[in-house]
This record gives sequence, structure tokens and C-alpha cells, in this order.
Amino acid sequence: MSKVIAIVEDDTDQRANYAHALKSQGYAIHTYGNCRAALAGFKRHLPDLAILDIMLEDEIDGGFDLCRDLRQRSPNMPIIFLTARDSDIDRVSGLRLDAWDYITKPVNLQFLAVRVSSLFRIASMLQTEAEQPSTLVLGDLTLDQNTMSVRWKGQVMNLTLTEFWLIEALARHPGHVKTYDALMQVTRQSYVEKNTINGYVRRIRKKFKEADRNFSMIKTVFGVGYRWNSD
Amino acid sequence: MLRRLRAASIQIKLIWLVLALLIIPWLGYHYVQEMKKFLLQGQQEALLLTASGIATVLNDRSELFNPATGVPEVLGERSDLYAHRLDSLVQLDGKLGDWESLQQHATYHTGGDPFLCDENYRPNSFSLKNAIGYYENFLYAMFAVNDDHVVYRDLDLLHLDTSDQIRILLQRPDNTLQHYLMVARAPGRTSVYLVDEDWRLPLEGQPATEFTGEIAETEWGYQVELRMPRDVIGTRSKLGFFVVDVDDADDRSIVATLSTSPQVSGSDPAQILLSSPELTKILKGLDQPRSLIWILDKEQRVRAVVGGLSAPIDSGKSDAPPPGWLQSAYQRLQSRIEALPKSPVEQFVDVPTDVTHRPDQIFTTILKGEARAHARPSLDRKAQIIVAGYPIRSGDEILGAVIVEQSSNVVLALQYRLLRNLSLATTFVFAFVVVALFMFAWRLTARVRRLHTTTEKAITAEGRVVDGRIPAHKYPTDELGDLGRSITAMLQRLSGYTRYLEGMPDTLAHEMNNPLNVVSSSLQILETEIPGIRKNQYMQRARTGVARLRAILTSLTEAANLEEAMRNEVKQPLNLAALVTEFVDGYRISQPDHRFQLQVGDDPLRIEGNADHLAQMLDKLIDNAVQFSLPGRAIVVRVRRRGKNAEIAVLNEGRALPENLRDRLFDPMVSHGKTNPKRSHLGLGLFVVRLIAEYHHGQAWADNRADLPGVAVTVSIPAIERA
Repeated sequence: MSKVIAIVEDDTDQRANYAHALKSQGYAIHTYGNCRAALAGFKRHLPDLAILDIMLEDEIDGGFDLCRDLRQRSPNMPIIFLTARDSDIDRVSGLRLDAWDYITKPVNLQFLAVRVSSLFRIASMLQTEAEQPSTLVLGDLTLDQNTMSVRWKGQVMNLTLTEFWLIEALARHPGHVKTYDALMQVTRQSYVEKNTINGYVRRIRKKFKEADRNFSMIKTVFGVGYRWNSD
Repeated sequence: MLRRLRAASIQIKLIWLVLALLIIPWLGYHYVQEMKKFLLQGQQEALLLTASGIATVLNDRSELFNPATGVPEVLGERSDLYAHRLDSLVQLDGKLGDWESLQQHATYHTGGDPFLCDENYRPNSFSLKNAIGYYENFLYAMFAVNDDHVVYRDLDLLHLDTSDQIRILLQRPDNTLQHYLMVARAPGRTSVYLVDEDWRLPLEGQPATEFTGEIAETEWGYQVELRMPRDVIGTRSKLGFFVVDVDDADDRSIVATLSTSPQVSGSDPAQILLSSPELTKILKGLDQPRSLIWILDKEQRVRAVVGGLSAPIDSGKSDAPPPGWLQSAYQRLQSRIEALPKSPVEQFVDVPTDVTHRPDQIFTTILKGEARAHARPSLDRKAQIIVAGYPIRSGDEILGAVIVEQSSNVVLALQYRLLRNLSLATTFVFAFVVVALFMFAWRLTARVRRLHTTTEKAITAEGRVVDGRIPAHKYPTDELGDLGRSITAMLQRLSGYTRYLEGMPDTLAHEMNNPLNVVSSSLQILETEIPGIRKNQYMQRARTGVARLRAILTSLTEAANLEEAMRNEVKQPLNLAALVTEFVDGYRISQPDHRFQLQVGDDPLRIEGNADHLAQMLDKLIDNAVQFSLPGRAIVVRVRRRGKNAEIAVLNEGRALPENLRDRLFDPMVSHGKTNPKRSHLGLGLFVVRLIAEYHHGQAWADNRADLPGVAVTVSIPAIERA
């Protein structure tokens, strides 16, 4: 039985496009145009993964409300915010509600499919608790590529998928500069600017600093990109 | 003047307003002056009324002024000899029964005068009781002499000064002296002789008939009654009595002489003052403190005078000060001001009361039948005397005049007190009002100035609202509070509008993202659905267009996101020179097409900042320089210290800045031309530069280069002082 993905998006065209793209990947798709319909649908059938727009018709934070509702029903359901809103506050709010990823429009449908499959893989790994963790240890940093989880000095870091990919890209080659262009590829988003990368790195640093005030492993190479400190 | 006042500050205007209050004491002073005039006039009228009252009483009393009687009716406190009216005719019999009524007026003389007694004088051996009276046209004198040896005249002796005798010295108005002597050969009727000035020889053979005397012996001595006509004494004549004692009938030398004069050295004749009880009663009854009443006859001769001018002045020291805490301040002030208005003098010199004639012009007028009152200065000009006169009539004839004089000191004292109280009160009120007004003005201007500065600070030079709140809520009710609130409301509306304007690109980007996403995702589906279409040139153009649109939308949201991001960032000390060096090095790698020329000093240049944002700013600066640089020309990045600031300048060679854009270049959506049609020119790059510069408390500006054609964009950020 195929996985069920719920898409909540008030724009009919976008909703249809997402549904089309994901259906072609073999997923079962439930689409909803507003909060009310979505809540009713979730009650009838809980999806395996949800893609939520934040602003739904008149409800500015409708997506957040839905996320909260889904979290109550299923604590481990992967939830992706897919939105036109691109502010730090929105990102922080979304991630506080334990969304697994936060991507901004316009979205690359291929990348969306990649993300969805990645998240499904992580979810199943978490459920089965794989015996063979594929871990990468770099000093204080531990990366588990199966569950896509990150530990810093033993402490679990709550990162989004994009953030995990960025950390992974940087940490794999300590001391090497990852240019902006390389990092843009890593994010697997349709359109990424230097400043978007800066924003991601800023948020990553912040999360690490909350765990460890002296964290300084990600070094800015001004005008070029970033690198993971080798020492 | 008016224009200058209009241009003055509120404080100056309020000072003028306070000075305008000075009119109040000025008005008060004038009021007191007017009141003084009014009171003086009232006093004059009161005196005139008094004068007319006295005149009414004296009307038709022609005997008082009859020159035929010629008797002066002078009353005064310094009068010398009093003649009192007798109840009945005096029988010249040497017995003193007729004098009962004058007993209380009798004077005693014991020879207190050292010049007239020799060393043998014993107090009890010679003393004298004397009284002077008058009845109808005669003047009587009574002498009761206590004498242990009565010695009569010896007719054989030529000289008259050889027995007990009474000497009468008469001074005529023309100052000639006449000596009369009463000597007796035996008790009984005696004669009076006009004698020489040594009292020795008679000048006429016959005794003076106008004097009549009677002597009678008593057990302790003798007593004498003497009668003379009143007109003998005449107007303003003076009279003196001397009782001479001779004790030894053989030796006949004078042992002692007693004068009846009340003066100690009473060898001179004294004025005889006839006491007229009726007139005395009238005038004494009218005697007022502080006023002098003169009775003048037709010839302006003084007939009577009563009273005195000087009077103790009530300086009003017992004024009750206002109660409460003001008391001490008030009293302190009072002592300061006490000396301010001139107090009226208490002592002054005026016409003496013993003059015989008042020739003043005004009296002449009064004696013509006109009642008059006026004020004149005292003789020493220290005080003002108010004079009121009223004629005394008898039928159509004017007998004389009543003159009432009073010093205006009463009024002056009142004026003085009023002035002092007025100046006290006004000084007090004035000081209070001035202080209150100054405090009010100070507070008002301080508030206005505060409002001014906060309003100024609320909006930056670029028109951005920094702080939309004016602290007007502290003054909840008044107009200034209202103004503050309106400015607050205005600023809030303005800041709302600015926020709306600044948020516009962001909102726009969000709104356009959705349709863009539709296009983008649809294109992607097309690519997967229709094999081979990926190579289609229209498809490729559509994709490029979508990418460009996406780039535009990203840059639109960048500024808004940046402001939000910076709000949560912390600044750290960092070396700007090192940062820029590192940055340009990085750029040389990532942008190999352009030449970068770095001008950095060796010294570290420390600032308080955020490296990421500074890098973002440099990114924009270099982006901008690259965009407008002529191909192949170097872009100069210069970092240096300028005063207290660190300055980063990025210079390119190329087109100069249009003059009209220079000030607006750092505003959002302002761009100075398109050089590359493939790139968007929303003019948000330099806006981001400005935002980051402002976040670092610095500023950004653009100028044309001085050395080469081109533009220099400079950012100045406060540096940390060298340690």
C-alpha cells in the first residue's frame, strides 16, 4: 500500500501540480484547500506525511494550526512547510512546532520528491530503529545518515532536512571551503541566493550555540563560502 | 520692536509679561498719592468746619475784640501770671474774705531765688501768698506776707526803699518800664507812687491815683489788697510784683525780695493773663490734640491761642502680619522695606504761639469775610501745616477770625503706612508671581524643547520614523500634552505608512511567489510529461524568465528579512581591516573576472559589529561597483581611520552620479541606471548597505571620485578607540 501524502494548499493550480508530481512518484495524495477541510480529512484518514502551506485562505497561520493538530495525532509524522513566506520568524515558528522541513516557493518538484522520499526513509528508520547506524564522527560532531540526526558533544541537535544536508556537506570535508554555489546545490531548492545560504548558516550556528556557547566550527570565508574547522 | 518681540522665545516673552506686572506697584503708588490728596482735602474741610464751629460760638462776642477794653485775652500754657475772674467786687479792707474763690489759684513764694536773698534769709521769716484776680474793669492783687518784723515807712527818710513795700514793675507795649511803689506808713489805705528805677525817689509829688492799696497787719505779718484799672496795664503790657522785706527799724536795710513771677529768675515783669472762664471753657473744650486754634482780631493781632501742633505719630508698627508660614518671610521683608518710604518727621518748628501778630496773606483774606483753608510748609519746611480760617462776625461786622492749624502728619503717617504696606504686599506678591511665572515658563519651555528634540529625533534625515512615541502621556490634560499626543499619533501613522511602504516589496514578493510557483511547477511538469521539450528554446526562455523573476523577488524580500534578522543579532568587537582583507581575498577567488585593489593600513581598525552583515554589506558595495565599473578597470576597496570613525570606501571607474540622485541613492527602489539588461535593478542593494551601516550606528554616502571619473561609495562606522 502506497504512502499517503496530504497536501494543504489554497491555490488550486499549485495544489494540482504538487499532487501530479508526487502521484507520479507512486504516492497516494489527499489534497485540501483550507483548514476546515484538512482537519476533517485528517480525522477520517491520517496521512503518512503532510505538506502544508502556512497561509490558508483567510487564516494567516492556518498551516501552523494544522501542524499542531497533526502533532497531537502523530508525534513522528514528517511535516513539511512549503510556503511563500520567507522570514526568520516564520521559520522559527514552524520549527518550534516540530516541522521536519521548511521550504520556500517556488519549489522544484524534483527536489520536493527527493525530500519527501528522504523524510519517509528517516521516519521508517526511526520506527524500525535500524541496527546498523550509518554514523560519521568528526570530533564532537556525530552524524547519522540514516535517521539524519546530528549530535554535538552527545547532545541531539534538532535540525531540519536542509540544515542537516548543509552540515553534512561542510563536515564531510573539514578545512575545505564550500563555495556558495556548492552549498546552493546541497539545499536542493529551486532558487537559492548567497543570502539564503547565509540565513541557513546563521540558524545552524544559533542552534549549536544554544547547545554549546563556544561553538565556532563553521567558519565564514567572506565572499566565497563556508568551511568546517579542521582543528 | 513688536516684530522683535514676536521673534523672541517664549521665555523672553514671559519675562516681558512679568515686567508688565510692575505696573501694579506703580498704580498702587499713584493710588496712595491720590488718596493723600483726598485725605488732605478732607482734613482741610474738617479744619474749616472746626473753624466755622468755633467762629459760630464766638460770633457776636464783640467784647472779646473790643479795643476799648484793650485787655488781651491770651491763653496759653506758658503764660506767666494768671489773673482769675473774681466772683464779686473786692472791698479794699485788708481782709481776704473776698478772695475765697481764688484760693486754689493762689501761688506761694518762699524766696527760692538765690539772687534775691542774702545769707540771713530763713525760710520761715519771710514768705508770701499771692493771687491776682479781676472783676469788671479792675485788676486786683492780693498779698499775704509772712513777716516777723513789719517795718513801716519813716517819713523822715528821704529814700523810699527803707521799709516793707511792694514794688510794681510795668512794661508798656513799647518796652518802656514804669516803676510803681506801694509803701505804707501805717495799716490802712496806702498810696502808690511812680518812682525812679532804683525804687528810691518818687518821680511825682502826688501818688499815682490809678493804684489803690490797703494794708492790714496780721499775727504772722501783714496782708495787702491792691487795685488797678485793667486798661492801665493795656494790651500786651507786662507786670511784675516784688515784695521787699525790711526787718530792722533802725538799720532799714532790705533783707529779702520775693518776686511773684513764676519764673525762677523772675526779676523781669511777666505778662498778665486774664483768665476768662467762659472763653477758656469754650476754647479748652475745642482744644484738640495736634491742632492749634488761634483767635485773631481785625488787625490780625493774636487774641487767643490754644493747643499745639506736635503730636506723637503712630507709625503703625503693630500691623498684624499675615498668618502661617508666610509670617517670617513677611517680617523679614517688612524690615527691609521699613526704610523705603520717608517717614513724616515728628519734630518740626513752626510759628511760636507767643507772637502777637499773624500777618499772613490768607488771614487778610479771611478777615475780609471769606472762609479759607490751605496747606503751607512749616517754618523749617519739615512738615506741612494745614491752615483753615473762618471769620467771626457780629452782624455785618467782622470781629476777627478763627484759625485752626494742624500738621498734615496724621495724613502723612497714614500715607506712609499705606505706602509701606502696599510696597510690602506688592513686593511679596510680585516676588511670588515672578517666581511662579518663571517656574511655569521654565517648565513650559523645557517641555516644548523636549517635545522639539524628541520630535526631531523621532524621524531620521531620510524620513524614517525611529521612535513613534513622544512621551506626552506624562502631561495628560493640557494643550502641550495634546500636541505631543497628536505628534505621536502623526508619527505612528507615518511610521505605519513607512512600514507599509518598506514592507511593500516583501508583501509584493510573497504575493507574486504563488503565481510564480504555479508557472515554475507547471514548467517542470511539462518537462517531465513531454519528453524532449527541455531542449525547446521557448521552454528555456520561460525557465530563464522564471529564474529572473525569482531573483527579483528574493532581492525584494532581502531588505525586510535583513532588518528582522539584525534585530536579533549581537555585535562583537572585530578588526575591520582584517575582515575586509579577507573578504577581498575571497572575492578575488570567486570573481576572477574583476581586478580588486585593496588599500588597508597595517594597524588593526577595531569596530563593534557583526561580521556576517558587514560581509553582506561589502557584497552589496562590490556588487554595485562591479555593475557600474568599466570593463577591465580595477575596483578599489579602501579601509582607513577617519577621526573617530572607520571608513570603508569602494571606488569604481565609470559613469558619474546623476546629481539629482545623490541624496536618494540609498533609498529603496532607487537605481542609477541599467548597465546590464540581464540583471535586475531594483535599487535595493544600496538600501541594504544603508540598513547595515545604520545598524552599526554609521552612515553611507556616495560621491563622484575626485581623481578619476567614477563613483565612490563610502560607509563610515564608529571605531573603538585605540587602547
